[in-house]
Parts: sequence; C-alpha cells; structure tokens
Amino acid sequence: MAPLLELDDVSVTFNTPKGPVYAVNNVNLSVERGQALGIVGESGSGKSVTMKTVMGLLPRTATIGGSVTYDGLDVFDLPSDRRKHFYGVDVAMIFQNPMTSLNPVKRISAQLTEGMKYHDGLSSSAADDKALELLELVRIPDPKKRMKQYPHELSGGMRQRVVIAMALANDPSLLIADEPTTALDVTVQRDILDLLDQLKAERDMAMILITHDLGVVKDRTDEIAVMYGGRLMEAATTGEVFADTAHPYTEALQRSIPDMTMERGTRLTPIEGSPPDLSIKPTGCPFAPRCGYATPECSTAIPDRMPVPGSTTHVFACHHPRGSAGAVQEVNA
Amino acid sequence: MVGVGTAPLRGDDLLIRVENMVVEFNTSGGTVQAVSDVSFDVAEGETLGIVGESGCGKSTTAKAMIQLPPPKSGSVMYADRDLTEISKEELRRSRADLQMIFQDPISSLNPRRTVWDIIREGVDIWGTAGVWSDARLVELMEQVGIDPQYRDRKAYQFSGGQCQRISIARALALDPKVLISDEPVSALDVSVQAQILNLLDDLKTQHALTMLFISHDLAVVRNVSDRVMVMYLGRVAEVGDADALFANPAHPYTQALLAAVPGSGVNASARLEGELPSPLDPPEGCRFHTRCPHVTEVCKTTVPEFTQHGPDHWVACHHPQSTPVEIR
Repeated sequence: MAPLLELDDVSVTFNTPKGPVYAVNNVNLSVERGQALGIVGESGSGKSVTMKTVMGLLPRTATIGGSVTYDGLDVFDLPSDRRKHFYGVDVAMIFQNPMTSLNPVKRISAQLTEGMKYHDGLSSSAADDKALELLELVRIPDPKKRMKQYPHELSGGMRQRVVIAMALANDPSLLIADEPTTALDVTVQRDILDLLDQLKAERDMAMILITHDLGVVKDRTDEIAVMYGGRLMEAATTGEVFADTAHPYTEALQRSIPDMTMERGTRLTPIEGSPPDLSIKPTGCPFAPRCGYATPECSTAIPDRMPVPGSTTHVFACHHPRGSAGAVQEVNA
Repeated sequence: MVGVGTAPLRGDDLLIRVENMVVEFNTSGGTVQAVSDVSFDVAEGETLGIVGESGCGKSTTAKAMIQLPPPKSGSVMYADRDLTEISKEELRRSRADLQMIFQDPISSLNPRRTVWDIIREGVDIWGTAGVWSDARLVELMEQVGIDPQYRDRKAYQFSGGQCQRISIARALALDPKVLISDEPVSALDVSVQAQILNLLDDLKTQHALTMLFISHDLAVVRNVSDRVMVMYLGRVAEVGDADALFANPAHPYTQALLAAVPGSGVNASARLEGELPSPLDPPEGCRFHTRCPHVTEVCKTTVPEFTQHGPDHWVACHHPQSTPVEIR
C-alpha cells in the first residue's frame, strides 16, 4: 500500500538578505495510515521546516525542491478547492507554544467552532455541541465553563488540549505535532502524549511527532527519522534506531543525555562544538566537525543514504556507520 | 503559619541554612503564596538540586535566599550571618559570594556589550581590578571554553551555549562561594546540554563551589546533585540524599514526577489527575491532596510534617508510599 504522506527529495532554501540558508536538503520521509513517525533533531536541524513545507506554511522567500504526495496527490499542485480541504480536514498541525496558537481575544468556543463552520457548514449551535464533545474528548475539566473562557484563563496544559481539540475538529487523517509538549511540565507532557496516543489509536489517524527529545518518541512511535543540519541522518523503525544505531549522531545524542538509569555523577559524553551554520553549503557530512569517527573523507564527500544490510526499513547517511552496518562495512573492507 | 517543619535541617554549622522562609506577592487578584515555610540547608561544597513543576516556587526560593526580593519572614543564615537582618551595605558585600546563572543565556547578556566588558564589570564595580589581574580573567575565559581572542566580540555574536559559558564566567569572576543555577541547560540544544553540565561539574571542583541547581528535568538533577529537594506549590514534599530519594521515592508527588520521565521504568500508574491549584488559594492541609491518588480525610485538614524515611531522607506526607530504610 502506498504511504499516506510521502516526501521525496525535499529541499528548502531560504533566500535572506545575507544570502541563501540551506534549511532542508534532500529529505525523504513517509508515513503510513494509522502509524506514528517521530522526527528527532535539535533546533536548526530542519525538522520543523520540513513539516511546514508539507503544510504550505513557508514564507515566499523559500525555494522548495522535490515533491510531497498525500494519498497519491501532489500537495504542491492541488486545485484550490482540494487545497482548502487538504489543510484542516486531511491534515492538521499543532505547535509548540499553545498560547501563540490561540487567539488571546477570542473565546475558546469561537476558536473551536471556526473550522467546523467553515469546512462542514455547521450551524452555530451544532458546532457548539460538537466543540463541547471535543473538549470532553481531550479531557478538559469542566468543559462547559471552558467554552466561555479566554485562553489566558487556562493553564498551559489545558491550552494545549484546546489546540488538540481544534486540530481534531475535522477528523484529520494525519496529525502533525511540532514539539507539542516542550513548553509543558513533565507530568503534563506525559498526559498530553498519552492523549495523542489514545486519539491516534481510536481514530486510526497517522501522526508525525516532531521533538528534540529521543526519550519522548521512544515508546510512542513506529518509526523514527533523525535529522541534523537540514539532512536526514538515519531513519528506521523505532526498535532498530535504539537496538542497532547506525549513525554516530544518533549514538552521540543517546550518550549525551543523562537518563535515570545512569549512576549519579556519571560524566556525560558531550557532543563537542556547535550545530552547523546553514548558510554555508556543506561539502561533506554536516556532522563531520563534531563526529568522533570522522575522517578526511567525511568533510569532502556528502555520504549517500543507504540501507543497513539485511533491513528494508533502516537507512542511514554516513561514511563510518556504527552497529551492524558498520560491522558489514568492516568485513567488506 | 503551619508548615511541614524543620526536621531535615542538619545542624547549624552548615554554609547555608534557610529556616521557615515565606515569600508572598501581593497582586490585584490577592496574595500569591509562592513559598510557604520552606527550610533547607546546604553544606559547603554540596550541590542541592531543587525540582518541581513550574509554579512550585523553586526559583522563588533560590532568589529569596539571596534576597531578590527578601522573604516576607524566615531566616537565611549564610556563613553565620542572617541575610534578612544585616544592613544593606553588608548584604551588598555578601552578594559577590552568591552568584546566579539563568535559564535563557541570550537574554541574560546585553547583546551590545563585549564579552570582556560583561565578564569584567563586577570586578570593576568592586574595585578589585587591582587584585584581579586581566590574566586571571583570561584564564577564566579559557576555563569556561570561550577563546580569549574573542574578548572584544559582542554578546549577540555568540550562540546560546556560548552565551551560557559567558554567563558562567561572569558569575565566577568575583570568586563566589555559592552558585545558583536556575535551569541552566533547559534553553540549550540537546547536543550542547552535556557540555554545560560537564563544565559546571569541572568548575565546581576548580572553584570549590557550593551549588543550588534548579531544574524540572529529573534526570539532569539526579546526575548533578548530592541532595535533592522536591517542591510542590510552595512547600517541600520530600528532601534527602539524591540516591536515597530516587531509589526509594516516598512522596506520591515525587513518584508521579518520576513516572512522568520517559523511560524511567517507575510505576506508570502513579499519574497525576487534575491541574495544579492556584497559589492564590492553595488547598488546606497537604497542598497535594487535590491530585493525590492516596488521599484520605486527614490530608485535607492537616499539614503533614516531615518524617524520617532513611538516614538522610525526609518526607512530608501522611501516607508515604515506600518502606522506610531502617535508621540506626
């Protein structure tokens, strides 16, 4: 079966007064119906820009290459009627900061019903009923009262629930969640992620979860894509990423973050240096200057994306892979 | 005010001893009870981690300790002086000893000033420029990992991680005894967090620092702290040796916090229901009772006092959820 959403060789360049910024370079991604894909990367890795490309949210200064297909349709070339349906009904997106996603001077009810009235032509009272149902669905305490409130009267966790309710209003087939819990407390984070999991399962909805935190996607996604410097470093099933890490960046990320199983006071293994400057077109692997395994080849040749031998789902882009891909490479050499 | 008590305090010869500290803010909506009767102590060279959700009073506690602003009541003993009692001038003189770094390194620095100006300002103000040679400041820049040849660059030319390094150098320029780190890595890229955590660890040894480390990230706190204090809605829920507290969490709130950490392996049923109550009108009795899965009548009326749960492990709960370690 063809994937629900497929990105093929997507590149995004921003033309700024200081010159071009190569934000996303030759990224391939896909997500199947009902599946969850995690996109992991730090700021500047291109993870959000990639998804904004899908959503048509990039500014005019952006030059986009490659193609995005949704259910067999070319997203960049949708007829205008289909386009309105695509954004909001087929695909919905939620963002990191729930405060800036909501209009501070409109009541929750007005914000929730806007999309339903527009897309489904519901009457005000029918839309209000549906909005109330949605608030119950996302488990907001005292939903009737919330309908009449303004965003500032709600806590951060409740606001994010409202944003999720808005995104679900038209029953999307794909939900893109961009760091949905980064601005929230750990306890609230877990509730929101559990809620997204549950909604995804109940509605057979595909989900793309964008995060900088490998821990967040570990138990909640079917596949993971790791991005760095605007490039796809590694993509695989979630199990493969953790059990047979191929890319040194993925490995370094796991090592640099303290986890609860480490002995207290364990010296961390930092990734030295800082993330790459995207205004310089790389001549090699973007991670090479910070990579412990780098050789001269790494800064002169951009590594091709290739499969891990024996796997149909695991790809990486590295001259010196770790794990089983590295072992195979050594045998062949 | 009835509080959870001062039982965990370990004697009066420690570097920092905060007793019954209360911080309240008057707002148009009423009085915010930000910190209600918090007591703790920190020994010289120790790192105390303070954890809790936003709004629990962890930053306010640390700031009130250095009198920013002074607490409404309670005492703050630092090196045998009560910071709440001493004169303005004495307090000003103490401040060189008590330095702080903040969450957002970029907004902590004036973007138009040079790195050298920023690091040197305190030394100039204190008139210790004669004692503190430029060479010493250059050495400090090297220690925090900022190449001294960039001393005339302006703050805006540096990345977040580098700005945090500059903030740390600024804080250490006056040779403080105590460094308060308020979420020092939360705003940084994941790949840079470990660099700063390791740097703080090195500097702690090199400069013989005593640290207060505030964070909402339990894995980070566990990694850096000797002792940990868990706060909820302006009160201390649990405090003690970091290993004891994480291995054997007794307060239902601590358990819920731990369970929320992805991959912590802690009992996932210990989850929280409901929302954090307003500090304008905190619940009677145990402030956690509105969200606690083990709540009983006594929790709604009586503030739980600290009970000992291990050699250095104290919990303020009517129904502690783990077996106490035998105390000899």
